[in-house]
Amino acid sequence: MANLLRFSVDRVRDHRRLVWVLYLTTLAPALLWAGLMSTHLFSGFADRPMAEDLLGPKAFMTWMEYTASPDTKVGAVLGLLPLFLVASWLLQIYVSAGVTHVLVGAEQSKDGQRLPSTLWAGMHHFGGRFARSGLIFLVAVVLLLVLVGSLGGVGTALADGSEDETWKLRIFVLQVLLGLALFIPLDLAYDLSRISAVAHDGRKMFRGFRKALGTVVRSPRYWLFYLGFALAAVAVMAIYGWVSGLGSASGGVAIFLMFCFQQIVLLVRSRLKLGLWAGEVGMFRESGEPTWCGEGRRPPVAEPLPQLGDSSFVV
Amino acid sequence: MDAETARLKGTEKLVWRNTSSAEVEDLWFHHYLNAFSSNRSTFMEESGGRLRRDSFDEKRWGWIEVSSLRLEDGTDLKGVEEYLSPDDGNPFDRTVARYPLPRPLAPGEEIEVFIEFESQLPSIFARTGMNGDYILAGQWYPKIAVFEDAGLRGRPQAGWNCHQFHAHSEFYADFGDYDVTLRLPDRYAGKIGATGELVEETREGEEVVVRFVQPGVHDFAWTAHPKYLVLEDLFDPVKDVPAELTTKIASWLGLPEKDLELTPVKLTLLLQPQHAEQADAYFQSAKAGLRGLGLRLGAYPYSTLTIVDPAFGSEGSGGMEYPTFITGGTSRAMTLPLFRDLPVPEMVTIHEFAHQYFQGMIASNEFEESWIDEGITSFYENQVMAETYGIVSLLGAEMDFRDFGRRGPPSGPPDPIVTPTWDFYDSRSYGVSSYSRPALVLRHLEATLGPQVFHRAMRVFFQRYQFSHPSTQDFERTFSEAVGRDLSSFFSQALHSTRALDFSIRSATSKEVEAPQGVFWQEGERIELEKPDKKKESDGDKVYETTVMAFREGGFRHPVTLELEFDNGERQRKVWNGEDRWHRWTVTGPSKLRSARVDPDGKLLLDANRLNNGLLIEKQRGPVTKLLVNILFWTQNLIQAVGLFS
Ligand SMILES: [Zn+2]
Repeated sequence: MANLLRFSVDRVRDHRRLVWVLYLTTLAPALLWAGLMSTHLFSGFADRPMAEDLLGPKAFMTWMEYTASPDTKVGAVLGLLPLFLVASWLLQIYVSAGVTHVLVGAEQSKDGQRLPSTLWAGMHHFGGRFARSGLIFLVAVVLLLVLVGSLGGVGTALADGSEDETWKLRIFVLQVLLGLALFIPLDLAYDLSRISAVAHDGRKMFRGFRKALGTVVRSPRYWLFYLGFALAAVAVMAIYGWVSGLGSASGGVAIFLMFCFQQIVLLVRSRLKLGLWAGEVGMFRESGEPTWCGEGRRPPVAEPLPQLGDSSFVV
Repeated sequence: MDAETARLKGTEKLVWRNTSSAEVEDLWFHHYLNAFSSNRSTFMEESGGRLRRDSFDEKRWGWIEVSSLRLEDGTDLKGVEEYLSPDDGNPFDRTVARYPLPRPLAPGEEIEVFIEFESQLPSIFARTGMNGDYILAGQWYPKIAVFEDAGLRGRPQAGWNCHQFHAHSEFYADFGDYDVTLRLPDRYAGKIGATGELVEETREGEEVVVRFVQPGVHDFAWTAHPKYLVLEDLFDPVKDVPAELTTKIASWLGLPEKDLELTPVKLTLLLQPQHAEQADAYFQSAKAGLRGLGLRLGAYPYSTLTIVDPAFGSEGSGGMEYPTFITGGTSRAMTLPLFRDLPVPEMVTIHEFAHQYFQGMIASNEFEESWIDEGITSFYENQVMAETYGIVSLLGAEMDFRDFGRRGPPSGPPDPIVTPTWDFYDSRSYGVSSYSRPALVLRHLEATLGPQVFHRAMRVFFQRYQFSHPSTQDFERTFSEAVGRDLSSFFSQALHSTRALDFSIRSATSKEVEAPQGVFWQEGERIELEKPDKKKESDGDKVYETTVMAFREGGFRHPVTLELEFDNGERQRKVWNGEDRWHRWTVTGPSKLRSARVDPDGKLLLDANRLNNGLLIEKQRGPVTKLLVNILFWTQNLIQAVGLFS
């Protein structure tokens, strides 16, 4: 575990710029979205006294009232949200192909001249496979939800049978815990199979996912590693919730500080995400770099990865 | 009661007096349980077997049958029994029965009727039934309808008012003195609750016999469950009514505090053992209702209040009111850390308690004017919730009960509030028009008239019509009279039309007035004024002409306050009667306009669109910038969440 963590920290330190890549991947589409909104907001809201309530504690209610008003046209923009999210998903799939390519590569151990081209090459070569893999993962998660959801009926039946409604609660808690517990190996297998595909130019994404899942299931240590990062992200959001509960920004400076704080939160979360991915590269290597997705004709992008505990790659 | 088959055999002695000024030729009864007798009944056709997220279990239909209905002289009217469907002509509906009398009953005359009947309780659905050992018996006996005298509720001629049981309607009944004896298997001993006071409970062999008595009520319901935890508490006005609250409400009403004195009430809670931790929530909310409504309208006049916590899986019997007897509802989840602070079960108890006033004592016709019971009750529920719980916070998000339901639907509703329950466009329209919208109408009145005027008028209405059957017109007339103002135009729009109330500021301009230039005649002499030198002019000399266009966007005519706010801080107000479609307001003054508003104090709660209620001359970028910063942040979060799959 400590080895994995050290590997992750070193790898992220060597590729600090990737944090910004991940951050910008969420920022750019969000800016576009906010921009679309802003034209409506500045023309139909900024000149209305009701907007002043946005500065107080009832900001959210005011926003809801605004969107419900027959005078607002922002509904048309909001209606595009699902489409927009699908597009942002595809973008992130391609970016993760590039990022994985950089993380797996060993010869450019530090952010060098080659970062943009390595990133681009990864997106170019592996984006399609990552998208396929993403769909496989999505199906797996839907199956998981169906499985966990069907347990709810068991809870109702138990409660009805015994006239003890606490069964419903118990089963509900079980559903949540089980859902989370099963999501972790799925997500790990998903990421690991992609790493293998990049390392060996493999194309058999479904086979890779299946095989990686076999390995992950046998390594609870990896689950814990994942859980640690997930909890860290939750903790960051909890801190955000606590800080934002302290007061409502109303002045220009306060709004600017709020903006900075929000963006720092997102940067930290991007850093955590990259840390997890880097740790997963460590897991892949620890497992002996298996060819879960098969091997391609293309020479491996990376030289053999430095071994765990061997500090040569840190140079 | 045969608890194995959920069937009961009953005898009913009805003493009925013709209180009207007309002769009565027949007797009309509600056989409500027949609503659940088949999928062809009007109730089932309308509801599709679903009500309030609960669905009917077709394994056990419910029905009621009268085997004999004898008069004192032994005449059995069973032979002339006739089922009618006055509302929809449905031949399969048997919820209204008519029995012609051998001779008409003169005004003031009394008649004694002996009825033998059999009732099959359905599985718990739509407020009544039996699941497992749990029984909640509502509308379980042949119930005499209301014979309305000419003039009552504005009707031209005397006659029976007896509607079929509809999916969206509740009930309508006359006041009477109930004396009821129930016979159940002895496992129910000590675990039976009902309308009124428990007079005696004895065991006879393997049965338990209980007797309840309650004068002056219009319905009787009972419940039994061997698992009940029976808890008692006392509403003690000395302990349970804070002095500040009495002082506040006495000042609204303009009455001495001693006139607001309340009386003790014995509270009985029939609780599911799983909810033992929630006993206090039930008692405290019932007490909040007893003092909240008691102080505002008059003391609760009965000595008991029974609160039922329905069994698990029998939620269909929860959230219902009967005289001195209410059913609430909660779940174990409400004791979990996150939900513990949310007074949702309390809200249900307070709502059902408020029905003791508007349904119990104001026995309105719930078929034809559901707003009088549900709407006014929702208003008082909100009053009591606001003063008892105020602001509740959940995960940092605030729930302000004072703000709850403050906003109506953005566009006009499809039906007027006063609409017969079976004639609503759909169940959502019934819900909005019966509950939230009339409550909003009352809050609108409270805000525009002020709490003093408003609560005094409500008290007058309640006290004048308690233990009778007022109509919407009675309410409107009495309220206007008590306020000392003709509110008929308001009521006709708010209660009898679908008009939306919406005022807006469509444009606001403020221009500097140029100094006079050109040729003028002064005392017969011609003078020419030249354009003044801008540079020399000081700010103090400037004059601005401000023009504001206020619009009535909806059909609802209503006086509305307009306010202009100037750069120098000065404010000007005027009231526009809101009759015309638009109103232009022009003023000249030394300062430029900053903003123009309609309804600056936010008193017109019925306003359907608050966004258009004002205009700022200079856009304020701060608030919208903050909103955009937040939109950006949450969009980034959303994208990151999607990123879980990438
Ligand atoms: Zn109600």
